Amino acid sequence: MEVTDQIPVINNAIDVIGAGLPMLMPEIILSIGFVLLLILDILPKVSLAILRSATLLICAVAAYFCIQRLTAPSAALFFDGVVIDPMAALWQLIFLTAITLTTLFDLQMQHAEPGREKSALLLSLGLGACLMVIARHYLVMVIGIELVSVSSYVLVAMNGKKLGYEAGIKYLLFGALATAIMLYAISMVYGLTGSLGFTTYPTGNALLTVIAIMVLIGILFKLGAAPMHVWTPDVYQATPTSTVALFSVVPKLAGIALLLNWLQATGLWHNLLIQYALALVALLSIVIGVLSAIWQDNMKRLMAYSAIANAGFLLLGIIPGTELGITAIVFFAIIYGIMNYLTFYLLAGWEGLGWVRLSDFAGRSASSYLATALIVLAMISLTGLPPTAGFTGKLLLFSALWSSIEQPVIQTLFAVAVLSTVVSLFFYLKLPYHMIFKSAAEDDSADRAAGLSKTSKWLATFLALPLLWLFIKSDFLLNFIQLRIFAP
Amino acid sequence: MENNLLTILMFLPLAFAVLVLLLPEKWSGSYRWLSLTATGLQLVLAIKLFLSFDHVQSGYQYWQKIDWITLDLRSLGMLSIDYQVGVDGLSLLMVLLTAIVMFIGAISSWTITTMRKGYFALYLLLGSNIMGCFVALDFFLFYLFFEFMLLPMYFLIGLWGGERRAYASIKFFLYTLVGSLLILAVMIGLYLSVIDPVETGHRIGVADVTSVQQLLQTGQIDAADMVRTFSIPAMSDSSNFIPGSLLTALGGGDYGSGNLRYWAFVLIFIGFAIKLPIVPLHTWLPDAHVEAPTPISVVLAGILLKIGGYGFFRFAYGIFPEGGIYFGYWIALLGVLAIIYGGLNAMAQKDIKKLIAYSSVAHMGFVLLGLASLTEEGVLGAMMMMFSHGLTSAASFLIAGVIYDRTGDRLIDNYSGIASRLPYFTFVSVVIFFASLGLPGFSGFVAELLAFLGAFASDQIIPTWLAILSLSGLLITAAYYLWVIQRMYFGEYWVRSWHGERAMPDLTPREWLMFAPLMMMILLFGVMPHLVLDPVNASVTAFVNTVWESGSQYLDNVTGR
Repeated sequence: MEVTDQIPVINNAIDVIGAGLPMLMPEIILSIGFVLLLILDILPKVSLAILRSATLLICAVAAYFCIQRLTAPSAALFFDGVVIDPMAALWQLIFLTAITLTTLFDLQMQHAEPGREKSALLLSLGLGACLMVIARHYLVMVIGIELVSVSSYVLVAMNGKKLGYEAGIKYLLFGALATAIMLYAISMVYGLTGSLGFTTYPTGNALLTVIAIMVLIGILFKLGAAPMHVWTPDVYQATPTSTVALFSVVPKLAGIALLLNWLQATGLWHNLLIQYALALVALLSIVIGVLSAIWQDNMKRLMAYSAIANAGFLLLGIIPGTELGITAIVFFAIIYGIMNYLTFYLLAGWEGLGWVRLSDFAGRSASSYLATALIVLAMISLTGLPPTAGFTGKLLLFSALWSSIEQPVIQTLFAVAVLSTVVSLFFYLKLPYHMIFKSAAEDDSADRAAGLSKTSKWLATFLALPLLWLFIKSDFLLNFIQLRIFAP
Repeated sequence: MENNLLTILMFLPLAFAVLVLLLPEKWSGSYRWLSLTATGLQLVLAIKLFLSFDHVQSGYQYWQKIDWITLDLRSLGMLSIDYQVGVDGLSLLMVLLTAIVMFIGAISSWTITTMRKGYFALYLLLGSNIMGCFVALDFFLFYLFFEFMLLPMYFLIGLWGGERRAYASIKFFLYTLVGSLLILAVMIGLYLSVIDPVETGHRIGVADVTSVQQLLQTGQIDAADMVRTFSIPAMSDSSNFIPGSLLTALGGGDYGSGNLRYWAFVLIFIGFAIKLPIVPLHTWLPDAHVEAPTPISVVLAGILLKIGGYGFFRFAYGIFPEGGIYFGYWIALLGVLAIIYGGLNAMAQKDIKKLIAYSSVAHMGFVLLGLASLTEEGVLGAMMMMFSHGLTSAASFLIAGVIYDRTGDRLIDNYSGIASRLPYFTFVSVVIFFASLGLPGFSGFVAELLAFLGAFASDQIIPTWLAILSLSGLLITAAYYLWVIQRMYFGEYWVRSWHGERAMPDLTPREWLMFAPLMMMILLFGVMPHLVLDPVNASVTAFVNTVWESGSQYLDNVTGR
């Protein structure tokens, strides 16, 4: 082929890329914001408060463009490399809200002082997550996953403590392994199909099934689902609490959204083998999560296992492969985000007072009845009991499973998932139990009066209200989700 | 007012609970008055409801339905969750009982001195939830109350209970939660299988309910047009089950190792059996009773257990009548087992509260026996037993509370000859215990008699030998009550107490205030049982007929005969 022949092709490509760029406003804003914050970082006069305010501003602008996407028709850009649709916009809004909340926590809590780079890293993590949910091409997917991962490694290790380095390295090694397996699989996909897009898998090809499972491993790592969950407890324990809240929500939800897109685009959604594999992963995650959480003494570790179990619950919605399942996932994901942020927010406040282990909380309900009531609400919601939105979320997930109950795999999953609630009640109630039922140790009567600040309580109450409201009027959010993601 | 009566009954305590929370701590003396006012008003309204209840009608009265959550499930149609309440003969007595026991409990709570704000707020919240359970006609609404009841109960036992309160409260919570999860599983299956004919009719433009049901059964309604519902009345009518759905009663729901409806019946039965409780799922009960503070024991035995019994009527038998016929023999067997095992256990107890707790297990066996018989007498007996036991067990726990308040000790062996020092208290105790053991003239006798009559009359379900065996329960009950009276009340007076010598005053006016109305009611309903049986008779007759008719028909469908 002559060079001149290629000019129209290249011109065409440039046109497509040029036409696509304006559609990518949120991602572009996040990228620019990241660079901007990196520069601001090194300027000595810029205070932490300014950095964080800048983060909030950038998130707000990006969110503005995401909201516009909610009502726009879906569009495939860059030769089907990314697809922008209302569902992706919904996920991105969740991520941006999470980053905003984490930044608000940091603004408000001075004691857990992270490095100045945190603001920039939050944005790069957010950018990665935003790419993950629009990716329809393996390269975009890998870039997204790696942006999230690399930012996370640094966020874990940057607090300058030995525990942080250790957890960061552990996280890095696991992540590198997962990525390596996934990349290897992707190279084989390219060899077999000649394309890096999420193309339809030809059925009956055993190699492709193996490849699919290898790609799955990479995604499951982000999801924090068993058996790719081993890094979670250490990372959660070692990382500043506001960052853990982000870790428990953003990468996990980006992972589940990516998984959903990938399964749908490749036609693997109804592949029996993949379905079995996912069912096994969900089962393992729930069982390992709830059984290990029982033995935890450190609240952040306990929440890590809770996050593993919840990864399993999110997967429950995928397995039946129905619209009801997707609705249930999105609803549960939003509720899960709120529950986790509420919990970690309270934990962060208490961590500042030196309360970390369960025994530190003995008799602490006296310090604030409001905070105690809020943590009870959060824990009841995480368990999935009425009258909280956590119940509605699980009810929907179980309903999605029930509508395919003919399959033996689903029956097992259904039974395990429902009964796991009993075990989870046991460990979720541990913190309220220590706070309310145990009597305080005598020596620290001085700081009994200590508690969360007024602002903290307001913010926590603000986070708690949706948990009640979305139980009473769950259709408010559900119909919104349905309208957006299944837009005709 | 007329239309909203049930709503007011249900939310009145909740409103007062909010009031208690809002009042500042320095007015903590007013909390108990507030809770007394709330439960008192509730009692007045419940009596009004009872008196104005139409005896002839067997359907739901004071029925109210408001749209609550409407959800578009797209390919699965719509999902509608309603705020639907109503009473019929199956729930009327329970509503009345709830109001009575909550009122007595409020008087009994007078002695609570620690953390009063939390206590009374939780107590009132509990009251709202229990009332909600009995009047809810939407499964989702019922489930909300059923589970949300556990949390206040957990704290009430765990914070104001005895020494092993933490253990007892979490055990109670976990056990009951297992039960409610089994119910949840069935609830999900049910709402995905059942449509609301009225609302579906709206969607497809057919006004007549029967034609909607016909269209549904002939497969002429598109899945996207169906309005799935949690409504219990809709679930109790087989014409509302979507053909081919897993829980349909009209055949075709067969699957794997047996019909799914049998499984659903068993799950829901176990769920409520834990609450009732039934041997061998009863082990949480003695712990919870012993550790709970007196008023909470009263509420627990008086009404909480009855939710289990009510659940059998409304859900297990009401929605899956064929299960009642198919498993009837086993249910009766479990009932007789509970009567004998509970009784023997009660006899062996050293702690007076445990003794009463096990006697509750035995009494609930009569409920099971009467219900399993599926005869009019038997079912009436089961209803009467629930009502009567609500009164006697509440009174029995108050007796234990009186003793405990004075000495801080509940061991039977540590007391003797109470009669010589506390004559009035002894009089009250003897009356209550005699009523519990079913002496003629008291309400318990009527209940047991009817249950036995039912058991003997029910040739199709309960074999005669089982009915005869259940009679031995009478003997055992009499034995442990008489024995406890003999050991504690008669003989030479002495009290062994670890807390040193304590004064043993006789009943205070406040205690009389609790015992007098209970004793009067026990006697009144024992002599004139028609006062409570007449209003529910029509519903019970309809219940028995429906269970037999639909049950046999479904059984035929299931077995393909």
